[in-house]
Parts: sequence; C-alpha cells; structure tokens
Amino acid sequence: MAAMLEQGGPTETDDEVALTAFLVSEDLEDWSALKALKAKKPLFGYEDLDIRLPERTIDVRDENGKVIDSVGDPEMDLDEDGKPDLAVTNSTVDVGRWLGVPAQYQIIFAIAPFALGAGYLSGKAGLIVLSGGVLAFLVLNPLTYALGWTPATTKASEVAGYAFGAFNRPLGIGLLLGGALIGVLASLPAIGAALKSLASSKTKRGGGKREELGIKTLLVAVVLAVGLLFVAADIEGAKPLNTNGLCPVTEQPVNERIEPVEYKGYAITVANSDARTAWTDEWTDDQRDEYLASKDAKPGWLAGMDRHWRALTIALSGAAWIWFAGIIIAQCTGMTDWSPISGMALLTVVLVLMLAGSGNVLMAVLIGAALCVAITLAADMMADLRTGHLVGATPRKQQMVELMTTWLGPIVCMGTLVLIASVNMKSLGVPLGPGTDTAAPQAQALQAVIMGVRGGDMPYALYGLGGALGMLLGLGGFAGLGVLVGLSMYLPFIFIATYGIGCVINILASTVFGKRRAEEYGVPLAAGFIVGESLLALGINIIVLAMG
Amino acid sequence: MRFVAFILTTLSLVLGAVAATTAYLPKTSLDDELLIGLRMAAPAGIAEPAETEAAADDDPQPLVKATDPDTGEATVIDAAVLKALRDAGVERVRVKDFPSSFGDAIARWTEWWWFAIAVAGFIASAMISRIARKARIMAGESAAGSKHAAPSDVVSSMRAVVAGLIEETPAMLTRRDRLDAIIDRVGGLQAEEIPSLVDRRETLVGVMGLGKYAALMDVFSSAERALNRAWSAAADGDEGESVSCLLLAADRLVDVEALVPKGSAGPRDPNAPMLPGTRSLELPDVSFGKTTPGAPDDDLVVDDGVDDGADDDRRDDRPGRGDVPLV
Repeated sequence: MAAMLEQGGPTETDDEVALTAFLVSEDLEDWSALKALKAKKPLFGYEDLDIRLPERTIDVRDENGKVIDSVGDPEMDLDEDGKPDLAVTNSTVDVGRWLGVPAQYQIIFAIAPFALGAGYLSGKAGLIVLSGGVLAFLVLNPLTYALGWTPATTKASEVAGYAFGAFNRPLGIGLLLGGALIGVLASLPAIGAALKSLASSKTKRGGGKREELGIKTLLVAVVLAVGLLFVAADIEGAKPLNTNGLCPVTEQPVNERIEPVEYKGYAITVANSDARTAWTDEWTDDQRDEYLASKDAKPGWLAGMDRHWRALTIALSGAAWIWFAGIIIAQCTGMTDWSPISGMALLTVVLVLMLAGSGNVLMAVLIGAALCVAITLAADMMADLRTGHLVGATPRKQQMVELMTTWLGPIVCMGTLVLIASVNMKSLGVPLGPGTDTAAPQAQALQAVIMGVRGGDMPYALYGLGGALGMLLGLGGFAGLGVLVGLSMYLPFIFIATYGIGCVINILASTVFGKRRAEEYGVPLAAGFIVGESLLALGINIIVLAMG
Repeated sequence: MRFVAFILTTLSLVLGAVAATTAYLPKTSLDDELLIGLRMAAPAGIAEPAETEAAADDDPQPLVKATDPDTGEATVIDAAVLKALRDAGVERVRVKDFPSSFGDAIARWTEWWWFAIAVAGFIASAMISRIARKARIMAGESAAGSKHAAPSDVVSSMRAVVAGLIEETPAMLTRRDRLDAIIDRVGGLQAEEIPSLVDRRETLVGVMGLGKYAALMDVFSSAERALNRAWSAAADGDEGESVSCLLLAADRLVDVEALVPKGSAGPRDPNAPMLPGTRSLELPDVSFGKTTPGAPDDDLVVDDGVDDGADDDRRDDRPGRGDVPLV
C-alpha cells in the first residue's frame, strides 16, 4: 500500500476504491471520499455540468492596510477543494453566491419541477407563500448574523442551517398552529353550516342521494378512532416503565407476575412482594422521584388520573388534535400543495409526552403514527376532492373509496420500508439511518424532539410566540395568513424559492398571453411537472429494484 | 388604507419575529442571578487562536462550548463562565431555558417590549384592514380592487347560459356541434362567471355572514360540480351524461339564486358591460331531462326524443327546474 501511495496511487477504479477504503479506515480520508468514487461514472444525463461559481479573490493586507497578497475567496470554495464550488449541482442552483450576495443570504433554488409546477398552479396568490421564507432566510437570519446573535463560531454560510433549528423552525410551527387556530375560530360558523348540511337527511332538494357521506358515518368513524386510540393508550399506559429491566428496590430482574406499583402515572414492576412493600411503605417520594428521573420519566399533566381515565383523556385529546391537524394539513395542501406532516407528527409526540409523561415514548410515537396516517389522508382527500370537483365527481363516492382503501397506504409503506431495510442490510449491514442512502432525517428529528422533551430542552416559548404571531396575522381578515407564513418559514427555502419562480411565470404568462391561455396551456404543463417528477422517481426505483 | 395596513402588518411581523428570536438569548450584562444556572444551547465567544501554525489554520474554537465534552450535558452558566463571557466581550448567550414566572421572563427577555409593539401594530393593522374592507364592501369592490357585477347578476347570467344551452343544443344538427357548444359555453362560465362569484367572497361574507355564505357555497359548489361534469363529459364525447349534468346544474342554480342576496355588490356602475355569455335573465320554460324515480343516482334518464309520454310524466312543473337526482 505504501508503494502504491509512493507511485501516486492506482489508476484502475477498483484499486482506487481499495486505496480509498484503506485511507478511510485509517481515518486519513472522510467517508464521503468513497461516496465520491462511487459517483465517478454517473448514468447518462447525470454527468456533472461543472458549472461553477466565478473565481473571486480577496486581498490580504498587512498591518498598515497595504495589499500584500490575493487569495481565493473562501466563501466561493466552501468544500475547500481548491476550486470554486459548483453553482449548479444535481439538485440546486446557487444564484446568491453567483451574484456575489453575502453567504448569509441564501438565495438558492431547488431544481424541483414539482415546486415550479405547484407555484405556477398557485399563481399570484401563491406569492404570499414566499413571505415566510423571505422573512426567515432574507431578513431574520442575516439580521441575527449581523447583530452577532448567532454563535461567533458560526460562519456566514452556516447561518441558515443554524437558524433553522434555533428559531426558524419553532417559530414557523408556532405561526402555523396560531394561524390555523384563528382560522378555525373564524370559520366556526362555516364549520357549523357544513355539519348542518351533513346532518340534513337529504343534502339537496330533488330527492337525490347525498353528495357527501352523512354525519352518521362521520360519528361512527370518530367513535371508532377514539376507541382505537383509547385501547392503544390504555395498553401502553399499563406497560411498566421498567419492562425487562431491574427492580428499583432490589435491582434484581423484575418479576412480571407481581402486580406493578403505580407512581405519578407510571407502572413500575418489582422483583417480589417484599420489594413492593418497600416501594410503597418504606421509600420516600424523593427516592421514587429520583428513580423516575433516572429513567428520564417526568410525570405528565395527567399523572394524577386513574390509568383508564388518563387513557380516555389522551384518546379524546388525540382525536381532537388529529382533527385540528387534519384541518391544518388540508388547508396547507389546498393553498400550496405542501403539507407539513412531519411538523404535526413531532408536535403530537410532544403533546402526548406532556399529557402522559416523558417516559411514555412508545405511546407517543404510536399516536404520532396514527396522526400521520390520518393527516396524510386529509391532504390526500383535499387534493382528491379538488381534482374530483374539477371533473364533477361525486364527493360521496370519492370519500367511500378513500375510506375503503385507507389500509393500503400503511401496508405499502411498511412493505417498502422493509424492502429498503433488507437491501441496506445486504449491501451495507445497516438497515436505515446514517451510513446508508436512506438517512431518515425525520426519524432523527423525532429522536431529537423526544430527547428534547425528556431533557426539558424544547423551545416552548418560541412555539408560543410564533403561535401568537400566527393568530395576530389572522386578525386582518385573511385568517389563513399565519398558516402560509409559518409553512414557508418551516420549509427549506430552496423549494419555496423555486415555487416563487412558478408563481412569477404564471403572472408573466397571464399578462403576456392572457389568463385563459395561460391556464389552458400552463396548467397541464405544471400538473405534468408535479406528476412527472414522481413518476420519474418511481420509474428509476423500479429499475434499480429490478436490477437488484 | 389597505397599503398602510399591509406595511403595518409586515413591519409588525418582522419586529415580532426579531423579538421572538431573542427570547432565549439573554444579555450577559444582566444581573448574575438571572443568568447563573441557565443551560447553554449554543457555543459562545471565540477562544484565543492557538499559537501553532497548524492549529491556527483550523476553524476558530468557541470560548465556551454548548456541551460539556466529558458528560455530554449542556454547559451550565456559573460565575466563572459568566465572567469569561463578559471579559471576552460576548454580549448575548443562547440558552435552553425560558423563565416560568412572568416577572423573571420580563426581566430576562429584554426585548419583550419589541414584541408588545408588534402586537399593537398587528391590532392596529387589523382595525385598518377591517375599516378598509367595510368601505370596499360598501363600494362594491372585490378584494382585488376591481368592480364586478352583483353576485345575483352573476348567478342569473349563469342560469341564462345553461338554459340557453339546454334550449339550443337539441336544434343543432350534429353531435359534434352540440358537444362543442357545451364545451365552449360551459368553459366560458368556468373561466369567467364562476371565478367572478368566488372573487366576491369578501362582499358576500360581509353581507350574509360566514354561516349563510357557507350554506350558499354548499349549493353553489354542487352546481359548479355539475357544470364541471357537463364540460368533462362533453370533452369525453358523452353527450347524454353532459346534458344530464346541465339539467342538474340548472336545477341547482335555481337554489343558488334563491340564496344569493340581491344587489349585494353595492353601488354598481350602470354602464358596466354585461358579463360574457349573458343574453337574457329570463329562463325559458323548457322541459329538462328526467329521471327514473328511485333509480341509482347515476341513472339519469335523458329525453330520448321519442314522444311516448313517458318523459312528460316525470316533468317538473316549476320553470327552470327539473326533477334531477344528484350526480
């Protein structure tokens, strides 16, 4: 190997891979070097265009201010490979740095036909979606950087990433929730009218059948949902905190035949009856609290309730929250074609952990998963009903089909997940996560949220302040404004920026060619962008799977 | 006024958001008791650069790290940390904790009053917006500022177009002509009248209230859906289905017309042009398609042209309304 290094390295790809692997194993190279090798022979059409940022130099001056040297601007070479970074990658176009805009203003556009298409479909009204992204990425982030409110060690190019986690995301989610809440409050008369319409025996005069599923179906679904959530919460709530662990008193393996003791909303199994007596009669509250703290199990708001009542309260709160989140998601999908599902799921986990206690992680994730399925269907239903409306489909039939096929999605998703995990296991020895192409960032975000709740690190005040701003934004007459602003603060700006281009193209096309023609030709094209991108991804994955 | 409200809202949003970012960013110049014990959420300050050349090339290191490298726990601000930060000129430090008591929150979150100003700005802009909207409603303008025909006129015009189609298409010679006429005229409604009525949301809500507006849109969306289906079926070449849906739309538009307030557009320019497609507001007393009572909802029976009396038995005697089930 040393000889190979002396000769300047091998020329054959296999040798190169072997050498790089060796260097990586010796910590002399980063793992990304191996990945870069893998990408050396891309498929046709995937070659690097090598469109790079312009070379810029900055003057190095001595103590007297005299220029003594010129060096390459480090802001143009963030990957430190000695040449300007790519301006056009396989997924983004960096317009900001190309134009010489300071790096803290990240003006980067995603190469995302779906975002372009969605922007075109939204037209002028969609421009409002840009407001949150502009606020976050072009006002807040540069301002906080300029004022020295970001850590001194954070570089200008890192500000967006830092700010996203530190305040943009919590503020965005808060705005979204506040906007949705004021929207629901403002729409209560309309919601009442809709329920009245559903409840009427015949929706329309003329003796026809209903156009939508009736209130009875809705009530049955609600009761079933609450029932299922109750069962899940009750079963999970009964599971001891130290299942398969050690007895808190004897530190011996627990005996599952002994009835668990209950303390502050948690069931705790003990090794034997003596240990049980010791826990109940001899241990002080401080000792018990210390034990809970050792398990990162803070008591929830409902800790004082009986287990079944607690489960029922969680089920009812969960159902109400799912309804509210469903409205938010449907609203977002209807207005922008985007749905902040992960944000809602993370908030659900926070909500359940706060109600049931931070030790009830499984219950929180379970209810979070139920919410994900429900609100995804809300987004789907919104899009389907809208599409159906355009061709005059009967909503009742669409709703029936949606209800009958609900189970398909989770099964297909689980099957896909198992497939990906098994492929990763074969090729990489790791099922999912870091080290694979499926890094599962949302799972890591979920983990961070759970750890945050358990460690008391959640920025609740930012959520609250964002919520207040969202509600206040809705006072002006457009109750959904907070939702739109929050959504675009919460989403990566690169997609929002491309979405904005779509809006602008629509405005220009309508001005130049007339509104009708812009719709006649533009709408099918935009829809094709959205569908085509998904179909392409599906096709590529099928080919990859077929080729093993 | 709307522009003032817009500017005020924007400024309030920016100010409120900037203030919010400082909620977890107390100043190091605050009293010690407000800062000691807080957990750091981000590194602070910059350590003195190392003297060795190799180390000097590295990225700058923080003066105080966010986490303790030994325990992995968040660094807790103590007197020594606070002194180091102050000596290094660090003005603010990002922390994980927000005071639970109102007094402490006000004391530590020094920019709370920025947020208070933002709240006041939002309330003021909301009031201005509402006053401006009221004025617009009175003036009969749409949210976009342009003047439109009264909603009742729009609905009447839609009824007229649909009735005209129902009346005229049977006389057309070829199937293609009939389908083209439906596609063209219903397409015109979809492009002009329907968006025009939807654009009047603000006015209608102002006049009717949200509950009644929702009830109106419930019926209107049903009519719109029937028109969409008529267009879609015509585009697919299914004449029977298309005509059935036109009949249904005509039926629903009667309901819409009954619900929409008359003259709710405010003062209207008497010289304003009629909406495209408007020819007459009088619906002809025509015989629409009929249905088989009790038939499945899609089993629409269209006049088959055979004068056997069967069609007449199920004919609705109200002008402009056919006994057509929901689709």
